[in-house]
Amino acid sequence: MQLYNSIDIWILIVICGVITFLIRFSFLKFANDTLIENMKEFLSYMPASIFAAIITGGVFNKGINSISVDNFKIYAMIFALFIAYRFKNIILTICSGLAVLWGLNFINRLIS
Amino acid sequence: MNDFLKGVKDVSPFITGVSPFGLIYGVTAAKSGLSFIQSFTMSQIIFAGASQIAFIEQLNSNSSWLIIIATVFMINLRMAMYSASLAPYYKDLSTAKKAFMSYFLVDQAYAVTISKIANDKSVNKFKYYMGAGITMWTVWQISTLIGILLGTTIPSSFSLEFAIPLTFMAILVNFLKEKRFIITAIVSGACMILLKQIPLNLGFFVAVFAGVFAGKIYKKGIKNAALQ
Repeated sequence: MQLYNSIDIWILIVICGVITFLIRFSFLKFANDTLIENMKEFLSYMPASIFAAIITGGVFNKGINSISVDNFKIYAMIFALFIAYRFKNIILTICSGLAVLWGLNFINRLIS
Repeated sequence: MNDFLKGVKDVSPFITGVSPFGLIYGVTAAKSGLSFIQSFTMSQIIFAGASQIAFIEQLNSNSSWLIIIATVFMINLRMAMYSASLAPYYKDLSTAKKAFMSYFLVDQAYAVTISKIANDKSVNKFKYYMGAGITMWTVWQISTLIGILLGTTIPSSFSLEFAIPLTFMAILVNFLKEKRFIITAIVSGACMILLKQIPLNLGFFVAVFAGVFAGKIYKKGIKNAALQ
Protein backbone atom coordinates (compact mmCIF):
# COMPACT_ATOMS: atom_id res chain seq x y z
CA MET A 1 0.00 0.00 0.00
CA GLN A 2 2.96 2.32 0.53
CA LEU A 3 3.59 2.23 -3.21
CA TYR A 4 0.42 4.09 -4.22
CA ASN A 5 -1.39 7.11 -2.87
CA SER A 6 -5.15 7.56 -3.06
CA ILE A 7 -5.05 9.34 -6.43
CA ASP A 8 -2.92 6.54 -7.95
CA ILE A 9 -5.48 3.98 -6.78
CA TRP A 10 -8.34 5.95 -8.36
CA ILE A 11 -6.44 6.17 -11.66
CA LEU A 12 -5.76 2.42 -11.60
CA ILE A 13 -9.41 1.61 -10.88
CA VAL A 14 -10.60 3.82 -13.75
CA ILE A 15 -8.05 2.41 -16.24
CA CYS A 16 -9.07 -1.14 -15.31
CA GLY A 17 -12.74 -0.20 -15.65
CA VAL A 18 -12.24 1.28 -19.12
CA ILE A 19 -10.22 -1.74 -20.28
CA THR A 20 -12.85 -4.14 -18.96
CA PHE A 21 -15.62 -2.20 -20.71
CA LEU A 22 -13.71 -2.19 -24.02
CA ILE A 23 -13.19 -5.97 -23.81
CA ARG A 24 -16.93 -6.45 -23.27
CA PHE A 25 -17.87 -4.03 -26.03
CA SER A 26 -15.24 -5.21 -28.57
CA PHE A 27 -16.97 -7.93 -30.55
CA LEU A 28 -20.53 -6.83 -29.88
CA LYS A 29 -19.68 -3.60 -31.69
CA PHE A 30 -17.04 -4.46 -34.27
CA ALA A 31 -17.85 -7.97 -35.44
CA ASN A 32 -19.31 -8.00 -38.98
CA ASP A 33 -21.43 -10.69 -40.62
CA THR A 34 -18.58 -12.35 -42.52
CA LEU A 35 -16.39 -12.45 -39.45
CA ILE A 36 -19.22 -13.84 -37.37
CA GLU A 37 -20.09 -16.47 -40.01
CA ASN A 38 -16.46 -17.61 -40.07
CA MET A 39 -16.30 -17.75 -36.29
CA LYS A 40 -19.64 -19.45 -35.68
CA GLU A 41 -18.45 -23.04 -35.50
CA PHE A 42 -15.40 -21.97 -33.55
CA LEU A 43 -17.58 -20.08 -31.08
CA SER A 44 -19.96 -22.99 -30.56
CA TYR A 45 -17.19 -24.74 -28.63
CA MET A 46 -16.54 -21.74 -26.39
CA PRO A 47 -19.11 -22.26 -23.60
CA ALA A 48 -18.16 -25.89 -22.91
CA SER A 49 -14.48 -25.00 -23.01
CA ILE A 50 -14.70 -21.90 -20.79
CA PHE A 51 -16.94 -23.50 -18.16
CA ALA A 52 -14.80 -26.65 -17.99
CA ALA A 53 -11.67 -24.52 -17.43
CA ILE A 54 -13.35 -22.45 -14.68
CA ILE A 55 -14.55 -25.65 -12.96
CA THR A 56 -11.21 -27.46 -12.98
CA GLY A 57 -9.43 -24.24 -12.01
CA GLY A 58 -11.64 -24.09 -8.92
CA VAL A 59 -11.22 -27.77 -8.03
CA PHE A 60 -7.48 -27.93 -8.69
CA ASN A 61 -6.39 -24.62 -7.11
CA LYS A 62 -2.73 -25.61 -7.24
CA GLY A 63 -2.87 -27.31 -10.63
CA ILE A 64 -1.26 -30.76 -10.81
CA ASN A 65 -0.24 -30.41 -7.15
CA SER A 66 -3.94 -30.57 -6.29
CA ILE A 67 -4.27 -34.08 -7.76
CA SER A 68 -4.44 -35.89 -4.44
CA VAL A 69 -6.75 -38.24 -2.53
CA ASP A 70 -6.84 -35.51 0.15
CA ASN A 71 -8.42 -32.99 -2.24
CA PHE A 72 -12.05 -33.42 -1.21
CA LYS A 73 -13.17 -30.93 -3.86
CA ILE A 74 -12.58 -33.66 -6.46
CA TYR A 75 -15.14 -36.01 -4.84
CA ALA A 76 -17.54 -33.13 -4.23
CA MET A 77 -17.35 -32.05 -7.89
CA ILE A 78 -17.78 -35.59 -9.23
CA PHE A 79 -20.88 -35.94 -7.05
CA ALA A 80 -22.10 -32.53 -8.22
CA LEU A 81 -21.56 -33.57 -11.85
CA PHE A 82 -23.81 -36.58 -11.27
CA ILE A 83 -26.47 -34.45 -9.57
CA ALA A 84 -26.28 -31.74 -12.25
CA TYR A 85 -26.60 -34.33 -15.02
CA ARG A 86 -29.43 -36.22 -13.33
CA PHE A 87 -31.55 -33.32 -12.01
CA LYS A 88 -30.53 -30.28 -14.13
CA ASN A 89 -31.01 -28.07 -11.07
CA ILE A 90 -28.46 -25.36 -10.22
CA ILE A 91 -29.26 -24.89 -6.52
CA LEU A 92 -29.43 -28.64 -5.90
CA THR A 93 -26.05 -29.01 -7.64
CA ILE A 94 -24.40 -26.29 -5.52
CA CYS A 95 -25.88 -27.58 -2.26
CA SER A 96 -24.95 -31.21 -2.95
CA GLY A 97 -21.37 -30.28 -3.85
CA LEU A 98 -20.94 -28.11 -0.75
CA ALA A 99 -22.57 -30.79 1.43
CA VAL A 100 -20.11 -33.44 0.23
CA LEU A 101 -17.17 -31.08 0.78
CA TRP A 102 -18.29 -30.08 4.28
CA GLY A 103 -19.14 -33.69 5.16
CA LEU A 104 -15.72 -34.98 4.11
CA ASN A 105 -13.94 -32.12 5.90
CA PHE A 106 -15.94 -32.89 9.04
CA ILE A 107 -15.17 -36.64 8.94
CA ASN A 108 -11.53 -35.85 8.22
CA ARG A 109 -11.32 -33.65 11.32
CA LEU A 110 -12.96 -36.36 13.46
CA ILE A 111 -10.51 -39.08 12.48
CA SER A 112 -7.32 -37.04 12.40
CA MET B 1 -44.05 -13.78 -18.33
CA ASN B 2 -42.24 -10.59 -19.29
CA ASP B 3 -38.89 -11.47 -20.93
CA PHE B 4 -36.97 -9.18 -18.54
CA LEU B 5 -38.39 -11.13 -15.59
CA LYS B 6 -37.56 -14.42 -17.33
CA GLY B 7 -33.93 -13.29 -17.37
CA VAL B 8 -34.15 -12.37 -13.68
CA LYS B 9 -35.66 -15.75 -12.84
CA ASP B 10 -33.21 -17.83 -14.89
CA VAL B 11 -30.11 -16.11 -13.49
CA SER B 12 -31.31 -16.08 -9.87
CA PRO B 13 -29.92 -19.54 -8.96
CA PHE B 14 -26.47 -17.98 -9.52
CA ILE B 15 -27.01 -15.65 -6.55
CA THR B 16 -25.87 -18.45 -4.21
CA GLY B 17 -22.66 -18.86 -6.21
CA VAL B 18 -21.86 -15.17 -6.63
CA SER B 19 -22.69 -13.61 -3.24
CA PRO B 20 -19.91 -15.44 -1.35
CA PHE B 21 -17.51 -14.18 -4.02
CA GLY B 22 -18.78 -10.62 -3.51
CA LEU B 23 -18.35 -11.01 0.24
CA ILE B 24 -14.79 -12.25 -0.29
CA TYR B 25 -13.99 -9.27 -2.52
CA GLY B 26 -15.48 -6.83 -0.02
CA VAL B 27 -13.60 -8.28 2.94
CA THR B 28 -10.24 -8.40 1.11
CA ALA B 29 -10.69 -4.88 -0.26
CA ALA B 30 -11.53 -3.45 3.17
CA LYS B 31 -8.53 -5.19 4.71
CA SER B 32 -6.13 -4.03 1.97
CA GLY B 33 -6.31 -0.44 3.15
CA LEU B 34 -8.45 0.89 0.31
CA SER B 35 -10.95 3.48 1.52
CA PHE B 36 -14.59 2.44 1.81
CA ILE B 37 -15.54 4.51 -1.21
CA GLN B 38 -12.69 3.11 -3.34
CA SER B 39 -13.57 -0.48 -2.44
CA PHE B 40 -17.24 0.02 -3.23
CA THR B 41 -16.83 2.20 -6.33
CA MET B 42 -14.55 -0.44 -7.87
CA SER B 43 -17.60 -2.73 -7.96
CA GLN B 44 -19.41 -0.24 -10.19
CA ILE B 45 -16.45 0.86 -12.34
CA ILE B 46 -14.93 -2.57 -13.06
CA PHE B 47 -17.85 -4.86 -12.11
CA ALA B 48 -15.93 -8.10 -12.67
CA GLY B 49 -15.41 -10.24 -9.57
CA ALA B 50 -12.30 -12.33 -10.15
CA SER B 51 -10.38 -9.38 -11.57
CA GLN B 52 -11.36 -7.14 -8.64
CA ILE B 53 -10.04 -9.71 -6.16
CA ALA B 54 -6.84 -10.05 -8.19
CA PHE B 55 -6.49 -6.25 -8.25
CA ILE B 56 -6.51 -6.25 -4.42
CA GLU B 57 -4.00 -9.10 -4.25
CA GLN B 58 -1.60 -7.26 -6.56
CA LEU B 59 -1.96 -4.07 -4.52
CA ASN B 60 -1.18 -6.00 -1.34
CA SER B 61 2.00 -7.41 -2.87
CA ASN B 62 3.10 -3.94 -4.05
CA SER B 63 3.01 -4.97 -7.71
CA SER B 64 3.87 -2.51 -10.46
CA TRP B 65 0.92 -0.60 -11.93
CA LEU B 66 1.60 -2.37 -15.20
CA ILE B 67 1.16 -5.77 -13.53
CA ILE B 68 -2.10 -4.65 -11.91
CA ILE B 69 -3.58 -3.50 -15.22
CA ALA B 70 -2.27 -6.54 -17.10
CA THR B 71 -3.79 -8.86 -14.49
CA VAL B 72 -7.23 -7.29 -14.81
CA PHE B 73 -6.94 -7.39 -18.62
CA MET B 74 -5.90 -11.06 -18.70
CA ILE B 75 -8.59 -12.20 -16.30
CA ASN B 76 -11.30 -10.30 -18.15
CA LEU B 77 -10.20 -11.18 -21.67
CA ARG B 78 -12.56 -14.17 -21.58
CA MET B 79 -15.36 -11.60 -21.84
CA ALA B 80 -14.23 -10.88 -25.41
CA MET B 81 -15.21 -14.49 -26.11
CA TYR B 82 -18.61 -13.88 -24.53
CA SER B 83 -18.95 -10.68 -26.52
CA ALA B 84 -18.11 -12.49 -29.78
CA SER B 85 -20.40 -15.36 -28.88
CA LEU B 86 -23.38 -13.04 -28.30
CA ALA B 87 -22.63 -10.74 -31.26
CA PRO B 88 -24.54 -12.69 -33.97
CA TYR B 89 -27.73 -12.52 -31.91
CA TYR B 90 -27.49 -8.79 -31.19
CA LYS B 91 -26.06 -7.44 -34.45
CA ASP B 92 -29.18 -5.38 -35.23
CA LEU B 93 -29.10 -3.35 -31.99
CA SER B 94 -28.02 0.32 -31.93
CA THR B 95 -24.50 1.16 -30.77
CA ALA B 96 -25.89 2.83 -27.64
CA LYS B 97 -27.78 -0.34 -26.67
CA LYS B 98 -24.72 -2.48 -27.40
CA ALA B 99 -22.59 -0.21 -25.20
CA PHE B 100 -25.19 -0.32 -22.45
CA MET B 101 -25.50 -4.11 -22.48
CA SER B 102 -21.70 -4.51 -22.65
CA TYR B 103 -21.35 -3.03 -19.20
CA PHE B 104 -23.42 -5.89 -17.73
CA LEU B 105 -21.56 -8.71 -19.51
CA VAL B 106 -20.54 -11.16 -16.78
CA ASP B 107 -20.12 -14.96 -16.74
CA GLN B 108 -23.56 -15.71 -15.34
CA ALA B 109 -25.56 -13.32 -17.53
CA TYR B 110 -23.72 -14.69 -20.56
CA ALA B 111 -24.27 -18.30 -19.51
CA VAL B 112 -28.05 -18.11 -19.07
CA THR B 113 -28.51 -15.84 -22.10
CA ILE B 114 -26.57 -17.99 -24.56
CA SER B 115 -28.40 -21.14 -23.47
CA LYS B 116 -31.74 -19.33 -23.77
CA ILE B 117 -31.37 -17.48 -27.07
CA ALA B 118 -29.74 -20.43 -28.84
CA ASN B 119 -32.80 -22.58 -28.10
CA ASP B 120 -35.71 -20.13 -27.94
CA LYS B 121 -36.20 -17.81 -30.91
CA SER B 122 -39.34 -16.15 -29.51
CA VAL B 123 -37.71 -14.44 -26.52
CA ASN B 124 -36.85 -10.71 -26.56
CA LYS B 125 -33.07 -11.13 -26.48
CA PHE B 126 -32.27 -7.65 -25.16
CA LYS B 127 -34.84 -7.66 -22.35
CA TYR B 128 -33.94 -11.21 -21.33
CA TYR B 129 -30.22 -10.39 -21.19
CA MET B 130 -30.83 -7.15 -19.28
CA GLY B 131 -32.95 -9.03 -16.72
CA ALA B 132 -30.04 -11.38 -16.10
CA GLY B 133 -27.39 -8.63 -16.21
CA ILE B 134 -29.10 -6.15 -13.89
CA THR B 135 -29.86 -8.95 -11.41
CA MET B 136 -26.18 -9.96 -11.28
CA TRP B 137 -25.17 -6.29 -10.98
CA THR B 138 -27.49 -5.75 -8.00
CA VAL B 139 -26.36 -8.95 -6.29
CA TRP B 140 -22.72 -7.96 -6.81
CA GLN B 141 -23.23 -4.47 -5.35
CA ILE B 142 -25.11 -5.72 -2.29
CA SER B 143 -22.76 -8.61 -1.52
CA THR B 144 -19.58 -6.54 -1.94
CA LEU B 145 -21.10 -3.81 0.24
CA ILE B 146 -21.85 -6.34 2.99
CA GLY B 147 -18.33 -7.76 2.64
CA ILE B 148 -16.73 -4.32 2.95
CA LEU B 149 -18.85 -3.51 6.00
CA LEU B 150 -18.04 -6.83 7.64
CA GLY B 151 -14.36 -6.25 6.94
CA THR B 152 -13.54 -9.43 8.76
CA THR B 153 -12.32 -12.77 7.48
CA ILE B 154 -14.88 -15.28 6.31
CA PRO B 155 -13.61 -18.54 7.87
CA SER B 156 -11.77 -20.34 5.08
CA SER B 157 -13.01 -23.69 6.46
CA PHE B 158 -16.41 -22.81 4.96
CA SER B 159 -14.90 -23.08 1.46
CA LEU B 160 -17.72 -20.89 0.12
CA GLU B 161 -15.63 -19.98 -2.94
CA PHE B 162 -16.27 -23.57 -4.06
CA ALA B 163 -19.87 -22.56 -4.84
CA ILE B 164 -18.58 -20.83 -7.99
CA PRO B 165 -17.16 -23.88 -9.85
CA LEU B 166 -20.21 -25.82 -8.65
CA THR B 167 -22.43 -23.22 -10.27
CA PHE B 168 -20.57 -23.58 -13.54
CA MET B 169 -20.86 -27.36 -13.36
CA ALA B 170 -24.63 -27.01 -13.23
CA ILE B 171 -24.57 -24.91 -16.40
CA LEU B 172 -21.89 -26.95 -18.19
CA VAL B 173 -24.00 -30.12 -18.32
CA ASN B 174 -26.44 -28.30 -20.62
CA PHE B 175 -23.67 -28.12 -23.22
CA LEU B 176 -22.65 -31.77 -23.03
CA LYS B 177 -25.39 -33.10 -25.32
CA GLU B 178 -22.95 -33.61 -28.22
CA LYS B 179 -19.82 -35.73 -28.08
CA ARG B 180 -17.65 -32.98 -29.61
CA PHE B 181 -18.50 -30.68 -26.70
CA ILE B 182 -17.67 -33.45 -24.20
CA ILE B 183 -14.24 -33.78 -25.88
CA THR B 184 -13.87 -29.99 -25.69
CA ALA B 185 -14.70 -29.92 -21.96
CA ILE B 186 -12.34 -32.80 -21.10
CA VAL B 187 -9.38 -31.33 -23.02
CA SER B 188 -9.98 -27.81 -21.69
CA GLY B 189 -10.35 -29.10 -18.12
CA ALA B 190 -7.22 -31.26 -18.33
CA CYS B 191 -5.14 -28.40 -19.77
CA MET B 192 -6.39 -26.07 -17.05
CA ILE B 193 -5.12 -28.49 -14.37
CA LEU B 194 -1.72 -28.67 -16.07
CA LEU B 195 -1.44 -24.92 -16.64
CA LYS B 196 -3.17 -23.61 -13.51
CA GLN B 197 0.00 -22.29 -11.92
CA ILE B 198 1.06 -20.13 -14.85
CA PRO B 199 0.91 -16.52 -13.59
CA LEU B 200 -1.84 -14.05 -14.55
CA ASN B 201 -4.22 -16.92 -15.22
CA LEU B 202 -2.72 -17.17 -18.74
CA GLY B 203 -3.20 -20.94 -18.63
CA PHE B 204 -6.95 -20.26 -18.79
CA PHE B 205 -6.70 -18.98 -22.38
CA VAL B 206 -4.46 -21.83 -23.49
CA ALA B 207 -6.88 -24.34 -21.93
CA VAL B 208 -9.92 -22.73 -23.56
CA PHE B 209 -8.33 -22.69 -27.02
CA ALA B 210 -6.98 -26.23 -26.62
CA GLY B 211 -10.52 -27.38 -25.79
CA VAL B 212 -12.00 -25.57 -28.79
CA PHE B 213 -9.45 -27.04 -31.21
CA ALA B 214 -9.83 -30.54 -29.75
CA GLY B 215 -13.57 -30.34 -30.44
CA LYS B 216 -12.97 -29.07 -33.98
CA ILE B 217 -10.41 -31.79 -34.71
CA TYR B 218 -12.78 -34.44 -33.38
CA LYS B 219 -15.58 -33.19 -35.63
CA LYS B 220 -13.25 -33.08 -38.63
CA GLY B 221 -12.20 -36.68 -37.91
CA ILE B 222 -15.86 -37.77 -37.89
CA LYS B 223 -16.47 -36.02 -41.22
CA ASN B 224 -13.42 -37.63 -42.85
CA ALA B 225 -14.38 -41.06 -41.56
CA ALA B 226 -17.85 -40.63 -43.07
CA LEU B 227 -16.37 -39.71 -46.47
CA GLN B 228 -14.15 -42.79 -46.68
